[in-house]
Amino acid sequence: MVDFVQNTLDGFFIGSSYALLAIGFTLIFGVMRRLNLSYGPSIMLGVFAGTMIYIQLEAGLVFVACATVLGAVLAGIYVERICFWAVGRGAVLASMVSSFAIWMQLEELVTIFFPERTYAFPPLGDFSLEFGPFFIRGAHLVMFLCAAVLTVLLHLLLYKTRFGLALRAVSENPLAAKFMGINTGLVVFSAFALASAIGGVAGFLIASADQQITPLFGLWATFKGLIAMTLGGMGSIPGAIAGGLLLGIIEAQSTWYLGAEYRDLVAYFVLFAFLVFRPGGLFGQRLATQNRLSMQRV
Amino acid sequence: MDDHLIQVLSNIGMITFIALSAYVLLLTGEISFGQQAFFAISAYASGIATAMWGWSFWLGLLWGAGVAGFAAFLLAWPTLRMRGLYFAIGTLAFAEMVRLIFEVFHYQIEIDGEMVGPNGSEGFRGIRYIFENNISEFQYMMIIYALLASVLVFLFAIERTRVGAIFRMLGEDELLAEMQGVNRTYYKVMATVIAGLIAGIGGALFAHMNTYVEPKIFNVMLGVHSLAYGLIGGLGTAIGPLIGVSLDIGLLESTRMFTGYRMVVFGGLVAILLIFRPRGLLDEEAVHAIRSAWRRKTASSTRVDQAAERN
Amino acid sequence: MLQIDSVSRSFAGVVALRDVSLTVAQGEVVGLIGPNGSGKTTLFNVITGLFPADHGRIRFNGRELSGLRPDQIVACGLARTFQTPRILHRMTVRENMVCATYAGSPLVQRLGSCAQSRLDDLLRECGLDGRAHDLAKNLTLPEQRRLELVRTLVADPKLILLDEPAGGMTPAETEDMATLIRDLAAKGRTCIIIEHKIDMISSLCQRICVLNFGKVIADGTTVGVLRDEAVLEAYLGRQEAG
Repeated sequence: MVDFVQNTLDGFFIGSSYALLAIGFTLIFGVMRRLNLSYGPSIMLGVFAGTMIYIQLEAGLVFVACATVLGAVLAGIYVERICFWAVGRGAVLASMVSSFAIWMQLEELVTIFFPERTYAFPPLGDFSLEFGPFFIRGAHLVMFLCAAVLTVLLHLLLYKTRFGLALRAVSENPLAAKFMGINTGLVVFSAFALASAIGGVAGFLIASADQQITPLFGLWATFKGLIAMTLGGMGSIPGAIAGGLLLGIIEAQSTWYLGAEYRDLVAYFVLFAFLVFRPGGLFGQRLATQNRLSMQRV
Repeated sequence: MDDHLIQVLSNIGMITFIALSAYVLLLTGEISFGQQAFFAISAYASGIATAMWGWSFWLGLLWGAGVAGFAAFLLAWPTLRMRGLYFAIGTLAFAEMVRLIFEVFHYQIEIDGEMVGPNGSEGFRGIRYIFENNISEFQYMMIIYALLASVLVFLFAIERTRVGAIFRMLGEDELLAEMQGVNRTYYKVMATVIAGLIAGIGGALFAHMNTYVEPKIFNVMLGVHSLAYGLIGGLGTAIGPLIGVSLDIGLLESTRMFTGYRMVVFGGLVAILLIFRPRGLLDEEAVHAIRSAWRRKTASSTRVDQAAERN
Repeated sequence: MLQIDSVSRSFAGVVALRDVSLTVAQGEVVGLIGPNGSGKTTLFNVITGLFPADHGRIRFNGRELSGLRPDQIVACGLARTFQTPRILHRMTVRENMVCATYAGSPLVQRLGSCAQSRLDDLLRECGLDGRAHDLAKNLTLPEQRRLELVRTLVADPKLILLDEPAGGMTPAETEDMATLIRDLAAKGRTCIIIEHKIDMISSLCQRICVLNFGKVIADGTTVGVLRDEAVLEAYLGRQEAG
């Protein structure tokens, strides 16, 4: 029982970083109805920017964080312009494959400039808390707190500002939003930048909890974001959070009880089961909306 | 023929199978990130058949493709109700599950004092049928292309008949297709199985040429690549995927100009191409233009002949 | 021929069809009118099996249609057009027609062998034979609507459902479309036509059924219905009708 709770705690905290990744993914999906396969790699670019100034300039934690977020945002803007804005509204598959092509490009860029297997990243906090039989890593706690704060800020942005309203309008019905006078192009661009910034924070938190960054991060982050988003419900922010936390917990429990080799297998199995039985995810969107969403032709 | 050229051409041939597999599903309007699963299943199955059960190559190939086709049939049903992006993610999840299962799949028997067979993440070595039977690399390449040609002929035949038109109908407007009497279930399952079989043929060929497969090979990158090839080459015709594969592997691999930043260049080119031609080089419009030009040419030459005869 | 019995259908609380009953005899040309949102297209969708009715039954020549898949219903001899023409943009006009030959046919049939001359005749009748080899996306709106209309004839249906066949067309184009439909009807085909253009409806239909908020508020001869108080009220509002 103790193990189960401990795993749940661990999973919960790791899941908070997945939740952040999923939030970014879902923001982009919400306004574009497409998957951005370059999401992880663009964040990775930011994290490597951070590691560069950490190693070269021995900069402090705050500067590294800023560099990470800035790098992620710049990379995200690059992806948005080439893969989504330039390709145009109708061609769903083309922009996804384009984002895949840019994914490959970004990954290779990283390996060209950072040829080592792993690079150091400044740690968040080297302490740990214990209460009773349970144990929480300090870095995880900080990760969770940052994620929580960020989520609250995002909520305020989406529900208390004009920009947030415009973003929600475009997510709901882009054509109607355009006819109401909303500059949908600008909204999409901003949503991308915002999603990349959130992703940058997530990347920073994850790298610093691990105290290292590897070039495999890009693929890993895209997948975690994608799975968490789908589990929670595509296009839903509360869903992204729930999905991220759920994914973290599933991973922690299956690693403990079945072994590390089975961790991802269980996660994918759960994902597949959701897609078959409850495609709307945890925060199940109505079937009608799902059909509309998925009626995107190739 | 230069050894390196043979290898490049063989790779192009083999990868085209999985590209065609994704293409068949794209025709019906479905994005699949998971065709590499069938490539993998057939690679392992055919390898087991020839290296462990002592079957001949052709039987092994049939067996591998058959198992892959059957797996595709099984996958078709739970994914039937998944539409659009959900289907894409579902196939991705399935393919990753298959890969991860192979990571823990152990099945070995002792042959001539050695353990042979799939050994989890260490892979499956010793699929040496081709070498033990003295089939040269050139001969193997011919086998690959003979099979590829057959598959292409099969796909061209489909294009010209009802089945192909129905696939494209489903791809463009599923609702309209149903309104015109098309049984969506029947044709979607058919497309999934055909796609699985084609990927399966490629997988068996791959396993026997490499003599070694491991789960890591059959990852998402392979899957998304195979999808991309069809999209680059063009969705208007079955030659599209072949063009896409040739461009990637052929041009960049063999010129070796861009070693080290090949993906930077290729990725950028693909992204730019897709801005201008979102359905690829030989998209439906291009194919239509070519056919129209051909029709006008043959029509005018008929007129010329008739005029000549009269005179 | 077509018997709709007390069909109801709601979507998440919004009642789209409320106890709709309608009988259409062979050879009739019935108009289906009503303000926007009154449920006309929804009725077509339910008849053709896009979604099931919540209550009620639909029978076609005695055959129960409720619960059948759209392709099965179409195989019984129904055909329909859509408010926004649904044609296959990436195929040519002729290929669109060929695709329509697949309703209920057996599995493998070479594209070449299916009454090709008949397809050409149909195209000629509606004036599209010159465009036979053009991509459907390059057609003008009236041409697209004509293609959709003539496409329904390919499978020789017994009942044709037309959803706003003249939508978005100029008076001249509307007149051409009306002529086409009149020819169709003259050959004995049963039609139900949804339209907003009352002139067109009255020239084509002997009988009109009116929907408002999902309910049938009138069903009778053209002349009678168009003078009906309830109908005028539905379209024009209470004060104007008086």
